[in-house]
Amino acid sequence: MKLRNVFPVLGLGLSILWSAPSSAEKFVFQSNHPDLDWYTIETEHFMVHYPVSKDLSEDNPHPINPVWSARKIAKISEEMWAPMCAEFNYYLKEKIHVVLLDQPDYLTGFTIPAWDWIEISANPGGYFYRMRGRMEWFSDVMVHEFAHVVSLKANSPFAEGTGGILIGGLYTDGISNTASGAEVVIGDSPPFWWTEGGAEYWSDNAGYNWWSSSRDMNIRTSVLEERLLTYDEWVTRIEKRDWGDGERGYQQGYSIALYMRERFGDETYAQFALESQKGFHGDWEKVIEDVLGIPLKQLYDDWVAYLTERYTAVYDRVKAEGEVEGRDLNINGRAPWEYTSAKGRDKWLDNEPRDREDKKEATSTWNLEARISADGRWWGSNNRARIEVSEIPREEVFSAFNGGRAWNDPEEAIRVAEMSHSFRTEFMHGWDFIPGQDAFVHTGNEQFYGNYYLGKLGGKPDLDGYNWKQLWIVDLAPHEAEEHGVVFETIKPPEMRKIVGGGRPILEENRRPIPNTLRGSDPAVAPNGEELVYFEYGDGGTNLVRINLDGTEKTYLTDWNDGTWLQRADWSPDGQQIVVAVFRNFQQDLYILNRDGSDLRPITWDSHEEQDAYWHTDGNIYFSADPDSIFNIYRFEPDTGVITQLTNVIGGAECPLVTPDGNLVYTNFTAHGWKLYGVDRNEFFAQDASEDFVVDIPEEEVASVFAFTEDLSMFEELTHPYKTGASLMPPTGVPILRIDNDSQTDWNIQAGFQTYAQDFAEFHNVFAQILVGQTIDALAGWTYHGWHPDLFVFARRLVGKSNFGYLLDEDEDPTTTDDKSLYDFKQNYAYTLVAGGLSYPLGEYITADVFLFGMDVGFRGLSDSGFERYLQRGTSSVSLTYNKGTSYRSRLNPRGARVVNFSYTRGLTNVVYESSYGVVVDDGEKLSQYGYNGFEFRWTEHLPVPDLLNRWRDKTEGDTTLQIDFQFGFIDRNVMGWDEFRAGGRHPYYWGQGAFQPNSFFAGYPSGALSGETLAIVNLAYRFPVITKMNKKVGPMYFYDIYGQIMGTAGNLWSYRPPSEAGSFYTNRYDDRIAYDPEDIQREVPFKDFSYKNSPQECTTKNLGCNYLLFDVGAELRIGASLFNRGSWDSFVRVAYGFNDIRGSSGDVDGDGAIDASDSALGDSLSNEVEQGALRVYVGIGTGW
Amino acid sequence: MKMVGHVLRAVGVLALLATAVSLSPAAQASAWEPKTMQDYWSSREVERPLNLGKGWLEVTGGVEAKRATGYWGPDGEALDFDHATWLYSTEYLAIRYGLTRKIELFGTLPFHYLRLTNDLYGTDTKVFHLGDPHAGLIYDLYRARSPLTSVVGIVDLKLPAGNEAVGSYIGGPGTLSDFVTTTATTDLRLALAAKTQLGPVAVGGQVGYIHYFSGLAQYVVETEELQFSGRIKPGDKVYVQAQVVAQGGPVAVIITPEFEAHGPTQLGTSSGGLFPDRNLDPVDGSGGWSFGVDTRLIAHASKNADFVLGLHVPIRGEDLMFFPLEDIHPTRGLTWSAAIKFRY
Repeated sequence: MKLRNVFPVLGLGLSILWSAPSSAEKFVFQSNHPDLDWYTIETEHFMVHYPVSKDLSEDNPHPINPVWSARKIAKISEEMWAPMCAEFNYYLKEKIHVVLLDQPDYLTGFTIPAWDWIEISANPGGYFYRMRGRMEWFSDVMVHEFAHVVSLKANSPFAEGTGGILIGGLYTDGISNTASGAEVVIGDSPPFWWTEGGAEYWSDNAGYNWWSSSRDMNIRTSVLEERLLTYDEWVTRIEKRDWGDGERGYQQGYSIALYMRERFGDETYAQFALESQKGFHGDWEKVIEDVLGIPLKQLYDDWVAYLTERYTAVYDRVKAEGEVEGRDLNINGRAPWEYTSAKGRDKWLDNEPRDREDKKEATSTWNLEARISADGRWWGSNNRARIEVSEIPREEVFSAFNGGRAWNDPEEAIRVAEMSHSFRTEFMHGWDFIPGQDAFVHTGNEQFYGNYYLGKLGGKPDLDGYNWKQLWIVDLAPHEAEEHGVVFETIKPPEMRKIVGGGRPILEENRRPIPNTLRGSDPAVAPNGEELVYFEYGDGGTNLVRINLDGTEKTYLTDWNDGTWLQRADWSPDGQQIVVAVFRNFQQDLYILNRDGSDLRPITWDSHEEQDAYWHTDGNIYFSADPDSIFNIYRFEPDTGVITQLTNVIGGAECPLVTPDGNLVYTNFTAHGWKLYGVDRNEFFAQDASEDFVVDIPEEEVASVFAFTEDLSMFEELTHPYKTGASLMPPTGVPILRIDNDSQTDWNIQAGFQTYAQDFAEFHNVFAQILVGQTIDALAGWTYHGWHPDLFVFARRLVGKSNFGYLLDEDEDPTTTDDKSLYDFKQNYAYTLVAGGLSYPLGEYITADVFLFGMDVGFRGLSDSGFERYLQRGTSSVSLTYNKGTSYRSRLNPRGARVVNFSYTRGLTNVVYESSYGVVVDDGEKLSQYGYNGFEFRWTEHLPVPDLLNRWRDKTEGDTTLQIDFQFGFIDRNVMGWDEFRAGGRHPYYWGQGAFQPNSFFAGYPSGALSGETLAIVNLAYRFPVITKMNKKVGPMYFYDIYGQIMGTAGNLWSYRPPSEAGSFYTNRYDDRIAYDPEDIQREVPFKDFSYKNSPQECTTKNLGCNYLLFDVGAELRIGASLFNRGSWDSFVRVAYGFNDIRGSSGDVDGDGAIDASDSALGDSLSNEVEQGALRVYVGIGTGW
Repeated sequence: MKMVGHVLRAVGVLALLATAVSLSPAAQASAWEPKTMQDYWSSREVERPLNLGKGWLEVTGGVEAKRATGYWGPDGEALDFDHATWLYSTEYLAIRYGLTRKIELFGTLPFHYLRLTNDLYGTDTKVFHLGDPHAGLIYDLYRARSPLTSVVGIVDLKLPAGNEAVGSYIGGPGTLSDFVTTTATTDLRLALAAKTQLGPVAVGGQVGYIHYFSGLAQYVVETEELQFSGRIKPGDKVYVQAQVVAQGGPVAVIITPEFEAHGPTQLGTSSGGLFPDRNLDPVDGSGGWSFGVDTRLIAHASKNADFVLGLHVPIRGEDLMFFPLEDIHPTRGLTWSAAIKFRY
């Protein structure tokens, strides 16, 4: 009886496959900025950190110096500290660190209260007012975030050093072929509505916020259109995918807080926090009942009834006055919900409520900023970050202007279809046609247009980390095209016709940036078609700039540096004046100034919000305002000062435009989106509203306001350079209890924690995890964000004990089984690995990585005095990754996502195990020290495909996806098993190395069972919705979607074969065949040869049992949920069937927890065990998939 | 004196570390500021509840050392080693964290320095290994603040991370080159503890039960092939402690007599599946009881730091010769201890 070589056997069982750890990412705006210095304003209760360019000269295209913004934040922060802390009688000992970002042009604002951290951008992006009715960004958002800090600190029963306890485990049973895992983070998180609504409300209570007309518009329409988030829906912020649900959650929370203030007193909302703090509430809603004595559901119903009564009364008033709304600006006639018969109503109501919502949202949701070219030929609007332009032959094509009829002229329709196109633009920003040209100017950014094909692969390279907004000119370029012998005019670029799936390409010669317009937005072109005005962002505000279309003669028309924001400018018909809305000092009025910037003066001066000024050729200024708390369209006659109300809506009318025929086009706010509406010129409300506005400007007051300059100089002496050591966030951690099975007999329980820390400006991130138990696993990493590429290092030390059975064959004859004995075996193993590298984002989607990795592995037997080194491995690799999409784990159905990765690895392996004389035998070759080159290519595509089932059922189309995954790999020589490619199904809760993604890849075979030096696998998966938008709360759980997936994999891994000709090999003590000449081992040719390693034992020559290709099929259910109002808590069930019997590498191939150590009848180094084709079941509760 | 030197060296290292940490810039940085969330915590031991308050993190570095010169006979009688001296020390890092007002999490990571000298054989064997870590929680069942009354429940897992390979046993068990620092089993302790303050004095006690799950152990050698391992299940244990705390200014003394009894150990092979101990058989005479007294002196530097000195005096023990594991069958000797606790 001989013992087979135990240590390599066990080693393979460890499945040491290394997938590179990525560097720790920053929370927002991934690019690093070594071109910036950081400073800190230190006040009594806050540390405000802000960046300043090292080079502020004109040579720097991206200078930033947000000193005013930082000082303003410092001032607001100190002012609000006491009133906000008083809300909860929770006066903070700890200082709060506010990080101001001015590198990007996009809105962000968040806090992690336990980390004492608030981060906000100085530039909110310019359209914040649409939803909140104000532009005092700092006072609004800073107070909102600080309200979070105090309320959530006061609320949490958990200590701030941790977010809860992670309990998880994985049970793998190789006999029944099941893998069952579960994970739960026992933590506490208040519901969405209270958290966000509360922050709005306490800002109000503290005197910094108010229930604006915009907020009222949101909730009013939601109530009247039965679109409020339901009781179940509003608890969690995840999966608020339908239009407006996120903002609706904020404002519903704010609204019910106001309701509770009226009913129970103004301290009620804060009392919930104090009650919650007393102990863990798995279901936070119980806190409400403990405080108020009534269930939250009853309170919700009472509040809805209250709102319904209130807003119904408002609507009754509007209808009594005469509702003037017009109708949706479409060409299809009446929408299904605009039924005019009982049959039509029944048909509409036959739809599920969620389907009705989807159908209403399908007509557009963010359709604003309509424009018509000066010659009336082109119409367009900014529809959800796309400028949609069409040539409109006559206004009667629109149902709004023809009495609601559908357009039924096929020839006209064909022409309009060809003369329509959609162009990418910045979200919600203004734009303008260029008079005299078939062209327009719009707001893009520095990376906006690259080469079309490069753009598909990630846009222009972005090496400096800046992507500021910028103005672009786009030529519509009507041209002739020919198809099927028909010549026609079109504005669709030729490329569009060649590419399946469209895209929205623009020929390079048809678009160009306007020089000198960085950080510019919202252009308005002068009537002469040669110049324009736009808003240029700088240090927390905007100024009005005039510039020629070629970027010359740039002139600043205003010079504010005090947080003033501008909104929609327009030229007078003679091109000598400009009207613009100005948000300044909590007041929002319309101003007029001359084209040279002189004589700036308000034309309204009141507490209403006047915006969206449009100066029509009739000499009148049309605008949107809310004098009676509902936004409507008004007309201002400059010569007389008369103001006339043109619409009378129950939603909100904004962004007016008057057509050549004198009709009105505007954006109507509904509970299903911002939609373009049209009002026939004969149907205007036409009520004199002059009394509602203050147009007699108090000149002294205006002069006084203009002369006022806020003194922030006191913060200068409180400013010092940023110090990393003094700006460390409190370390935070998660205690972990993890339970795995060990050899299907013993439980491997591990306890430990993860911890994470960083400095507030995110130069450094460190994390560590230690788990102790029978296996001790310690790892730590550090990422440095101070250079353009991220630098990261990572280290791990694992010392484990492994239990398994050991099957001995007394007579060494594998054909007899009655003399085999099973023994308990326990062995110690350990490895240390270190890794490091650089990760450099080359563009929005492309990342280049350089990665170094080293590993040292040892074993310790029962009688050994210590660990004996087994091998050392090292690799260096470079890889290029294109990743447009999202992670597999966090979403049920990644769609439209693409991940492409190519990597090259140079590896060195050194076997040093003295007990085997420093060599191992693999595939007939003795290996001791060797180097190899590895190449791997991976392409995963998530293609949206039509949901034919739901279309047939007349349901709203679901998100159906075809996932295609290719993986190819090649290693240029025979290597030992540790270095080979591996495949096989794996549970997502496997915490070891080498997790395969997607996990459906060969899920029909045991984890890591397949190996070889050549890899070629393709996997197809079809995902489809089973139940979507359940939005059902069950205790602390919230369920939203269930998706199904069917999938299959084909492919194989090929290796090298030991020689078989007599005289070409000898056998060692383990009966392994070893080639005298290593050249005699044979490399298997993919698809031509069968894979001897991954074929059953009976496969010795070509026969039916040999596996040229392996196949599996499977099915999966994905269940999307959240727990304790926290993030995703997703579960799955997967079954997969592997059609082929496999032998696999050495180790416990059949997964029964015992290694068959009897001699191989084949004389190779592989296992005697065979895993037969079988059904495998994977279950994960809260583990993702 | 070697033992005292060991303790003093360890205390010195801990003091140096504490000084370095307290003087470092990082210690003064924002990360270590006091936080509003933290529960009240007294600077006097007598007034402290049995669970750490919410938001407090306590880190303890400590050392325990026992120089055993004897063992316990089959009937619990004290017997002397003829030629051996056994130094068994534990150096540990312990963490307590007040997760909520009612729940404290704790963990201990012990290391052991062991030395066995034998005059007869002329051997001097020294090893240093990780021991078995503990992790658990304390749940506050009842608490009154002034005067203090605290009642808690305790759940404590001991995990088999320590060394269980005995090294080369060529020549038999008497020549082992290594020492075991684990039972190789996972243990679960459930306990109830109480404490109530009576002016400058507090009295309390604890009762507990420890269940030992069976485990495959390398130190249990299969005797047929001598290549493989056996399975062990130490006998379950119950214990009772009484406690008196006396406070005088910034110094407190805690005296804790303790009685414990455990059942017989079982040995055998794995039976497979999730209940692998069906093949185990009890070993006659492997159960027993013991009694000892633990005394601690605590000096409070502030509510953020304590210094602790301790002495454990075994009065009645068990038969060491059956199972020489300090965790279950300790040798006979005084155990001195010292620790420094930091809280923030």
